[in-house]
Formats: sequence, C-alpha cells, structure tokens
Amino acid sequence: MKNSLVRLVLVVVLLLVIMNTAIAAKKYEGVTIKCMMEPHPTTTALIRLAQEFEEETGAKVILEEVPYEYLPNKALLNFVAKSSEYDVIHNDWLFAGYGYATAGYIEPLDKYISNPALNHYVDLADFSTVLVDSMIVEDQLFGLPLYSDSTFIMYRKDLFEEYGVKVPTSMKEITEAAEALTLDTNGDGKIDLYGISLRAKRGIHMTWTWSGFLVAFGGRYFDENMQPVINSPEAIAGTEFYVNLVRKFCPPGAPNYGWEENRISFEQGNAAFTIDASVNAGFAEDPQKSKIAGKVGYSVIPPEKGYGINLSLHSLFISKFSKNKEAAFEFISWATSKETQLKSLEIEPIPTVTSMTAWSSDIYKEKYHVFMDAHFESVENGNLQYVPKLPETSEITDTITAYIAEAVAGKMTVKEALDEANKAVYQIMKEAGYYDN
Amino acid sequence: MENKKKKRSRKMLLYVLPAVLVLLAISIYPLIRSLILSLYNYNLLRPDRIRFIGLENFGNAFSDTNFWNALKRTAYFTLFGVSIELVLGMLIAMLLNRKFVGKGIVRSLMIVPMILSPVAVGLVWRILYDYDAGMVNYFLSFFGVSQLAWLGNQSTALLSLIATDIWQWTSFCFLVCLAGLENIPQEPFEAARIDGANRFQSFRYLTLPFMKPVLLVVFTLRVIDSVKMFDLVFIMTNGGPGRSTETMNFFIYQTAFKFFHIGRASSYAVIITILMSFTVSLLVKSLKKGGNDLV
Amino acid sequence: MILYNRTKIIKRAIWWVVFYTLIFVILGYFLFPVVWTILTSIKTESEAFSMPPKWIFKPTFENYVSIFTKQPFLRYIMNSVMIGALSTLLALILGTPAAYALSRMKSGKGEGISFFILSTRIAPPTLIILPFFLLYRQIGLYDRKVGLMIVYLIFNLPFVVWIMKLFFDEIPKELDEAAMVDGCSRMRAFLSIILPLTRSGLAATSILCMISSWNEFFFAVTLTGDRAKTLPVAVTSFIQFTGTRWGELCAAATVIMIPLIVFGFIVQKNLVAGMTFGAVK
Repeated sequence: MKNSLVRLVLVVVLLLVIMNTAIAAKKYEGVTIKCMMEPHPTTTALIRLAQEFEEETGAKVILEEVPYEYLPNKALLNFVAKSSEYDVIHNDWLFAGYGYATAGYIEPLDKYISNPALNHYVDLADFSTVLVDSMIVEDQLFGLPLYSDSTFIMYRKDLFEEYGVKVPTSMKEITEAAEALTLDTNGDGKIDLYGISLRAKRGIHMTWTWSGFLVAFGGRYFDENMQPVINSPEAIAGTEFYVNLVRKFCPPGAPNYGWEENRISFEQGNAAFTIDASVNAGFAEDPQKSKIAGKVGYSVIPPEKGYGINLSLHSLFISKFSKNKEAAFEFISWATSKETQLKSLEIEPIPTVTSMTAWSSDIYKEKYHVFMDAHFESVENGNLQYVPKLPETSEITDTITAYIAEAVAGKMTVKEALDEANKAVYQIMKEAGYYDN
Repeated sequence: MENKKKKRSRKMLLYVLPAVLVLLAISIYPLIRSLILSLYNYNLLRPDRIRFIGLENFGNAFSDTNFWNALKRTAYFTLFGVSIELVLGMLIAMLLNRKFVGKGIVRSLMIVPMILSPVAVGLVWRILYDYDAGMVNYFLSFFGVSQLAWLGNQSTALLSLIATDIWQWTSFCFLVCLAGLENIPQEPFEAARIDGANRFQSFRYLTLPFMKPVLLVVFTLRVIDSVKMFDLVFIMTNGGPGRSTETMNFFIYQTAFKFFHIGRASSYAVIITILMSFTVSLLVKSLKKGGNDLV
Repeated sequence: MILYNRTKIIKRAIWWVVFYTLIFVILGYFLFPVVWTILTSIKTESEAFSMPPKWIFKPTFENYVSIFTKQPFLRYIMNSVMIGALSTLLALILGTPAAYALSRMKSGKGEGISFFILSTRIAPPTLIILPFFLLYRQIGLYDRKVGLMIVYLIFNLPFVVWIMKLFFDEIPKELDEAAMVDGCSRMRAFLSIILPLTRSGLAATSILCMISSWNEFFFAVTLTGDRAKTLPVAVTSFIQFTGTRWGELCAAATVIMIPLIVFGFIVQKNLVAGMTFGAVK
C-alpha cells in the first residue's frame, strides 16, 4: 500500500515537473530575428535592451547597423533576391518605406495587431495619429514608428538681445531678422556673423529645409491630376524666399551644408539662428559638446499661408520574405512600446521618441524641457508629407533641388529653375507610367 | 629547334592559364547578367513593370544631357588629376632616389595617404575644406589668400575634389616610380657621364626611355581607377553644389540605387566600360611604340 | 686647395639642407590630414572643431575604448587581415607566373591576354554588383570572407600581372637561357633565380594589393553582413544619421591605418636598389 502511494506521488510530481518545463519553454526558442538597422541612438539603445526581449521570448536578436546611405540599397538588393536573411528593416518611411510597401516587399501588419496571441506589446494609441495614418496604404498598416523629428527655429537668445532683434513671428520677420543679424561684428570690413544658417546641399538635405517653405507659401508638388506644379506662383514665392535667405544671409559654405554641417555651423556661432530638425537641440544643449549650450531659444516656425513644419518618420518594417514574421512582429512591437522607448530615453539622447507616454515622462521633461514645448507644438502642426508619396520621390526631389541649387548659385532665376524642374519632373512621371491613361 | 620553340611557347601559356581561367570564371557571369539587365526597363521599386526594351536605354543615354555632362566632368577630373599625380609622383621619386639617412622611414610615411581609408579621407577633407572650421582656409589666411567656400561653390567644388584625389594618389605613382627608378641599371649613366653628358641630357635620353613603360602602366592604372572614383563625391559633395561634381560613377550609382532605375544604370555602365576599354587598348598599344619588345 | 674643399663642403651642406627641407615640406603636405585625424581621435568633440585649432589640450583615450567596447571591432580587424592577406597571396600566386609568361612571350601573342586581364578592372562596380549579390545569395557566399576574397581578385590580379610584368621586362631574356643551360627546368629557373630579382616589384605589388583590399568599401558593404564585415564598413557606422561621431571615427581610422603602415614598413625593407646590377654581370 505504502509503495503504490509513493509511486503515485512520484508520478504526480514527475507530471508536474514536465508540465512546468513545457510551460517554461519559451515562445520563440531557437528563433533568430535579424534586423537591418540605421546607425542611430535608438539602435544603440535597442542593442543594449534587446536582452530583455531575448529572455522573455527565447528568441535571439541580431541588430546589424548598416551605413545610413547604403541601407536602402542593401535592403532592396535583399528584397530583389527574395532573401530571408533579414526579418526586420529600419528605415525612413517617406523616402524608402513607402516604396517598399507599394512594391510588395514588406508585410502588412494588421493581422498581427489584431491577433491576441501576438499583440502583447502593441498600443497604437500611444503614437500620434499623424504618424500611424501616414503608414497606411490601401487600408493596411505597414510599419511601427520608432523615431520622428520635427523642424523648428533655434536662435541665439544672447545675440537677439544684444542687437535688439525680436523672435520672428512671421516669414517676413524671418527675413528681417536674418538681415539685421548679418553683421561685421569686429569692424574689419568682413562679415563674420550671418543671420541664418540653412541646409542647401542638393538632395535630401535641401529638400528637408526648402520643402518647409514650399508648403508654408501654399505650394505643392502635384495637382489633383498628378501633374507637377512646382512652378506655380506659390511655389515660386516659397522658393524665392528660401533662395534669398541662402544667397544673402547664410554662411558661404551653405550650398554644401548637409544636416551635420549646418548643425556644427550654428554651434560654432557662425549664425544667429537656424531652422532645422529638432534633434539638433539635443546636441546644442549638451555642455560637453556645444559652445552655445544654455544660450539657445526655441520657437515654432511661423506659418504663411499654412504651416511649413516638416516631420520625419523612421519606422520598423517586416520583410515579406522573412521566415519568422510572428517573432519579428513581436520584436518590433516590443521595440516601439512605451516601456522600451522610456528605457531607451534613459540611456541614449533621443528627444525624437514616438511614444506619447514617453513624451510626458519625467525623464523627458528633465532632459529636454528647454525645447520640449516648441517640439510638441511643431509636431501638432507638422506635415509628414513634405515630399510626394511616390516610389519616385527620391528622383523627383533630387532633380528639383539640383535646379534650385543653380538658382542659389545665381546661374538661373528661381522661375527659370522651377520651370526646368517642372519639365524634368513631368518626364520622370511620364516614364514611370503615371500618365498612361 | 622549331619544335622546341613551339613547345616552349605553349608551356608559357600554361603559366598564364590559371590566372586567365580564374578571372574568366569570376567575371563572366556577372558581366553577361548585367548586359542583359541593361536591355530591360527595370526599376527596383516597381517589379511589376519590368519590360524588355532592347537598346532603348542606350538611346536615352545618348540624348541625356546629364549623361554627357557627367562624362565631361569625369574626363576633366581624370586627365587633370592623373597627370598632376604622375608628374608629382615621378618628381618626388627622383628626389628620393638616392642614399640618405631616414630613407626607409620617409618612404613608409610617403605611402600613408594611400593607406587611409577612402571614407576617412573624404570625411576628413570635407572638414578641412570647411569655410569656418577648416584647416585649409586657416592656413591660407596666413598667406593672405582669400578664403573660399571650397565645397560650397560650383566653380571650386570639382577642383577641390581633384586636389584631394591628388593628395591621396600621388603616393601610388611615387611608390611605383621609385621602384622603377631603383631598377634602372647604372652603367649607361656612368658611361654617359664619362662622355660628358650633363644631368638634363642623361635624364632625357636615359632615364625617360627606361621609365616609359613604368610611367605608362602607372598612368593606365590610375586612369582606370580615377574614372571609377566614387567615394570622394559621395562623402564630400553628393554630386553638388548643383551638379558640379556629378561624375560618371556617382551618376551611375545614383541612377541605380537612389532612383532605382537599375536597367538604365547598367546601360550607362556598359557604355563607360566600352569607352574605357577602347581608351586603355590605345594606351596599351602605345606601350609598344618604339619597336622595343617591352610588351 | 683648402679653399676648393671648403666651397665644395658648403655646397654639399646647402644641398642637404635644401633636400631635407623639401622632404619636410612634402611629408608635411601628405601627412597633415593624417596628423589631424590622429589628434582628433584623442580630443573631445567640441575641442575637435574649435577655430583656431587647439594644439595644446589634454589627450583622452575614451574614443579608443569606446570603439572596442561598442562593437566587435577586433573581429572586424581579423576579417580585414584575413581577407586582405589571403586575396593578396592568391593574386600573387596566380599573377606572378602569368606576368612572367606574358613578359617572355613573343609580342603579339600576349597582347590579347594582357588586355583581357586588365579589362576586368575597368568595369564600374555598379555594373556587376547586382549579379554578384544575387549569385552569392544563391550559392551561399553572402557574408563569407571567401566571397570577398574572390571578388577582390578582380582588382588585384590585373594589378599584379601588369606591375610584375614591368619588372620581369627589366630582366633580360638571356638570363633565363643562362639559368636553363645549366640543366634547370624553366620553373626552377623562374623560382630560384628570376623571381628573387624582382623583390622590389613583389614588395610594391603586395603593398598595393593589401591596401586596396583593406580599404575596399562598395563590395564589402553589399556582400557582407555582421560576420564577415570589414573595417571600412565598420568605420562608417560612426556616421550616424544624427551625426558623425568624429572622435570615434578618427580613432577607428587611426587603428585601421596602423597595421598597414607596419606592413608597409616591413615589406619595403625589401625594396633594395639596383638588384639587377650584380645578376647581369
């Protein structure tokens, strides 16, 4: 009798142990998720935090940083080869992600979001609707937002005070302020302070800055029939405004200023104010790296016919050829979840998080209170569609900015440049088959 | 005797065979595949619209002003840059072709510019050319020369790139020229000196002819590489300001990977490859001129 | 007589002064960007860009620490070393005999072959990158060191053949005959007598092949992932979208430079002048 009791207990214990191990076996044990990532503080943070995801789910996560300029190149090559090497791609939605979506290279996420077994980390309400809506193509959502920038005015409070210039509240005042602050401060006959510093490097850089003015003055790329209207009176007005600033009040190196040159130029004190991405603020306020920390004020770019504030959006996508789509989905939803974004905020400088919970956190306030308000207000009035939503957007903006650069160099008038640009864009669209019917 | 000669020359072919076969094996598939690619209207982002269009890409290239301008800029960049590199490299090699204390160290140091990663070269020079924070303008200010926005000005941007290219590759010309100079036999020079020839004459009638094959090979190799130059434009100016530094290889790359027209880009690449092959074959032929069997 | 000697000595002294001044100026021109890079690698970021430049500052090695801890830099170094060394070796083994043969062939026969070998270097990388990528994915050579080694042969082999041919051309054919008269096979003669005479050429060529493999970027970034990543690609990870981390970039660039400089110094000790002089006699 005692023997069979002992045996029973043993069997029960054994069963319990087996059941427990079965439950403890992690969901994605043995699965490897490989991600192609931009070199960015968000990636750096994720690399450090990925362990948590690995422990919870048993999956192994490999985050591979690819040089930013080559990332679309590499992603495309992998898509064309239908390769399952990379499960997750991290990229800019407007310039790349949209193209991936329309070409059928990335996976629509709706079925994962509505799947209770997988949507543990997802909370779409935590993201600004502007961001989420822009990633919907034909009623399907294609990505989850990771970081997003706005643009605003950064100005030298000390210089504005010294020369009695007030913070611009209209486009006209921007030009006036720029003119008033382009000065020869030490009386040697050469100008050593420039009013404003702007990006004017052909391609994505000039596009970022110029398109804000285009939109502010009421211009746009295409009309309702997809015909290019880059040379409309509004577009010309906006472009002339921009070109005028660059030619007259920007430091001489401006035609080659990309994101970094512009930021450094402002930080070195070459110009009294600048209009650029909000992420610059994080750098400017860092006393270890910036000469002007504590001297900078932030304000929203004033509207003209409307607001011309650009928003960028960098998201995580799932490759259509991935063999671990579910695991990949859980990873990207974990990576963009409020908890992860908050933790990332603590360890890396990321004022551009997309989680609204993170925005109202104490850490965010503590780190970024100086420009927080300007940033949030800019996001509210921001425009995510500062470039056309087409796969050809890269080619179109490169062509347009090449012509505007000629105007900046004084080789053409703005009207001539935009007329030529319009013709060229029409050609591009025609060849891509948009006018075939 | 005839047989032996034939046997020998066939045996010589055996020495060449491994190299040729390996190269053939590696390059033939990609070359054919890309030739085929150039006959299609292939846009990487529109896989649904791939069509065979025959030679239409080539036709479009010939009527595209951007293509021709890129070609012109590349020719300018290459000829200007390589000529100066060759002359400078040769001069420095001649200067250092003697015994002196520290020769080994100087020689090792001379090749350092070549060693620096092209990406690093581009980035560093981009900062050096900066209008405000750059060392170039800083140095120039000591000589009272007006400071310019080197990379920000359409008229100086390409020249600045050429200057950086010269900085980087003169070492290459120097290295090979010096090795060549050191292998010139000494007796003809002694004989010439005894006969009363001065330095300039022995340079012109002895050094130069000896160095002709070396100079031509260096020139050819540099021309080939210079036409393929990409990193400098990509890192320093992105083809700008405007289009002033849009050279051929950058233009091809943009078309393929920024605008995703890979069919069209392949056709550009095919055209430039054919042009370059033609040019190089001319250069190779001129190696044979003069009747010496140095080829 | 004493007067005559003195003028001569003064003249020589002036010549050497001029000589070394020239060398100083030349080296200064070629080395200052490199010096700037090294200096920047031991500065903090705000110091790096201050104008006028700060020559006196407190050096810091945090950048170096950072690059080795934030990524598997050591692995990338090993990758670059292996790929560089092996592809150079391969090119030398395949190319030197070919160069020798082309040098000894009757003119006309070798022309076509020489040209073909050179032509593989002419094509712009963009032309062949897509087919290569697709091929490598299919045959499993993606992200493998061997894959890059093979691709680099396309650049290195033509280099070796064309430059070594120059050196073989300098050695008169009679020397081959002389060596073979003693009963050596041509291969023996080649290996033990002719080849050693071209030490300068071998040294120059191996340095050049090593450098071009070490610094090649385009194929490396496209055909490798994280396993076979090489140094040039690793350096670019410091160019982030939000800005270049100059301190770390310069530190990485410096680390990358040093092995090559050491390699160059060791190899070029073999570049001894006038090697053919004794042999011909």
